[in-house]
Amino acid sequence: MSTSSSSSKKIVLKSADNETFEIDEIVALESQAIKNMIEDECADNVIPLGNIDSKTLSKIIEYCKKHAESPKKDDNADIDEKAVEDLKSFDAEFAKVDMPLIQDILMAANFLNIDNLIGLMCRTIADRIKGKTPEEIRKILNINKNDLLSPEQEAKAREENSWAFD
Amino acid sequence: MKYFLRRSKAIKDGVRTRSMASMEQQDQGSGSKRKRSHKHDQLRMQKSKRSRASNHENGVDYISNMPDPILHLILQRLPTIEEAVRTTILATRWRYLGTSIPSVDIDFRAREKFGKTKFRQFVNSVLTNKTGISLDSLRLDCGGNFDMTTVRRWIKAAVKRKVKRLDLMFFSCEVKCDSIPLPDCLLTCESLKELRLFPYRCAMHLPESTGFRALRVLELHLIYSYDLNLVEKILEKCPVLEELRLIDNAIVQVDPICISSPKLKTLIILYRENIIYGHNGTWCGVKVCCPELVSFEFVGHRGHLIFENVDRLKKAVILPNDVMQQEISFELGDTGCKMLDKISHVESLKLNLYFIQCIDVAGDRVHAYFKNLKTLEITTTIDHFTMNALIWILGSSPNLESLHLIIQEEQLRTEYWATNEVETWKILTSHLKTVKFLGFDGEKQKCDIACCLLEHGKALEEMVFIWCNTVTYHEKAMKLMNELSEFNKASSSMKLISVLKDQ
Repeated sequence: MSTSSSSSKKIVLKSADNETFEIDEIVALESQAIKNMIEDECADNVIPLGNIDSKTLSKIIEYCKKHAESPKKDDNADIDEKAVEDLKSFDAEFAKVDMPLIQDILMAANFLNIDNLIGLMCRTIADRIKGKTPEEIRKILNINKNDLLSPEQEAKAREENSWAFD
Repeated sequence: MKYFLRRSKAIKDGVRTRSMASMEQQDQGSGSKRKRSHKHDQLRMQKSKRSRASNHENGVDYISNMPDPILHLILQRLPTIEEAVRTTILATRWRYLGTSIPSVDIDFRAREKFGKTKFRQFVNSVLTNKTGISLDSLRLDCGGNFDMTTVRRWIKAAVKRKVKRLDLMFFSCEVKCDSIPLPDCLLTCESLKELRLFPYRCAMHLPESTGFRALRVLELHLIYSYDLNLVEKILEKCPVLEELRLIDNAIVQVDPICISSPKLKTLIILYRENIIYGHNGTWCGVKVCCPELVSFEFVGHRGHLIFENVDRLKKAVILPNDVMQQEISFELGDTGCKMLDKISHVESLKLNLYFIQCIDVAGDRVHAYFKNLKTLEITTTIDHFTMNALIWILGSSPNLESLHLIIQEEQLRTEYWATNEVETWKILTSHLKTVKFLGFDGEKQKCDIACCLLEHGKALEEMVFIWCNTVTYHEKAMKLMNELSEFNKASSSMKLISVLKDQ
């Protein structure tokens, strides 16, 4: 990965498929889980991320780099609206990926505890299922046919929440 | 049953749930080194559990494997609660998620097409779910459409779900003149941390029961009370209150409202509406006695603000209604200056023309010395008397670093600013690091003032122009920056910044 300043401390992450990523500590700190590890001084060597593949991990690093570079929203600092807009359009662009990758990113973001990214992925999923029929949503989310409600169960759910189905 | 199986499978597969995450965070404070490194092992252990790519091809549904809080986050981002509730028929995993969302916003006006019966069903189904998942926050705005028995039942349902934040907007349509008692269950609710009450100018009173044991934040908005000293009575019941907001209430008072609270850190009092207050229609004022208070904000009537024991105060915003050119009596001037003296230890201060007038009237009798003041925001006009008062404030603030000016258009006369008195300029410019012009629109007079400050400001590090109009910003900002950057400045290293901020 490219580096912004050579003097800053580096963190090395290793994906499930054994690819290593060297990133600035400041970028890694976007993840609360890694931040905790660094604070607990157990991030000296390589941090193995056994459940995140390299494709997902490089996306996550791309996200963390951008967000680490952007000015944080302090209470009374005058943040340039341009920077806020810039970050928004980055997020929108970032989320333009297929559903399996979104799910992978969401899982990894949840594991690494990156709040903003969890929020972004949830918003993206919500945007994709909104206004859709149950059948369409099942297809988008890849819901297993064995997990469906029985006709009786579905009738009961509809009855309990009839106000929402009219 | 299947739902629980799925959850435990998800954990085994190495999906860290939110609750695990929070447990770990708790560990952080008290946990030993050994405990912590265990966390690291957990990360290691999950290595090489499964090959993800092949699972996609097999069509594995990862979303259903996610913990409840994540699925709730997705559901909360759907446009309506109806849509979230309709997901209850998607699959077994989703059966009770849509009706157990922990953060609920219920607004009758947004669902008027429902009619009352359907609205009742709607509220019942989102408040009284069977999963036992607690309610983080509930906003309920039902206006005057439901009787108090119904509203009380809903509040009870929220309390039963261990609600943490409640935002209640309702009034009673049955009896016009009677005062509504606050429901007992609200006071005794052990989980309630934040409460906002907005009863649309309805009269309310407190029941006798003790309570609000866990309440940290309280906002009373548009409450009328015939109950003498309602605020004092509520404060007595809130042992751990940290933030109090009083907005446009009308409360019968004989003496100033006494805000005395041992843990209070933030106090906001806004009386923006022109409501008659007090016993005989006059504003009785406020007395503040809070040893832990850090931030104080007041917008409203002129007159008494009595500060007692506010030693920890760091930030004060005091904006009494300032009526342009209205005479200020000697008495009022003295009151204003005494007020400043009592809070002269703050680090950040936001004042308006009213104080400039007070200082002007009080003249030599002003003693305040702002030894800690770093940031001052002031709304003022620029003319002879305001300049004298402003210079006095700046002269009494030896550590001021940042000055934010909101210059009112009326009576903006630069000749009083472009004074040649050497002493004045020394005071104005020897320690100022930042000057901000708020609500800037490229006005000639304000540019002149900026030039004066650039010419004399030896310590200036940055000057910020905060534009409020998109059109003029795009037209003028660049040109002005170019002009000012060529200007002969006293401080060579300073930065000029233009920012557009919609108001």
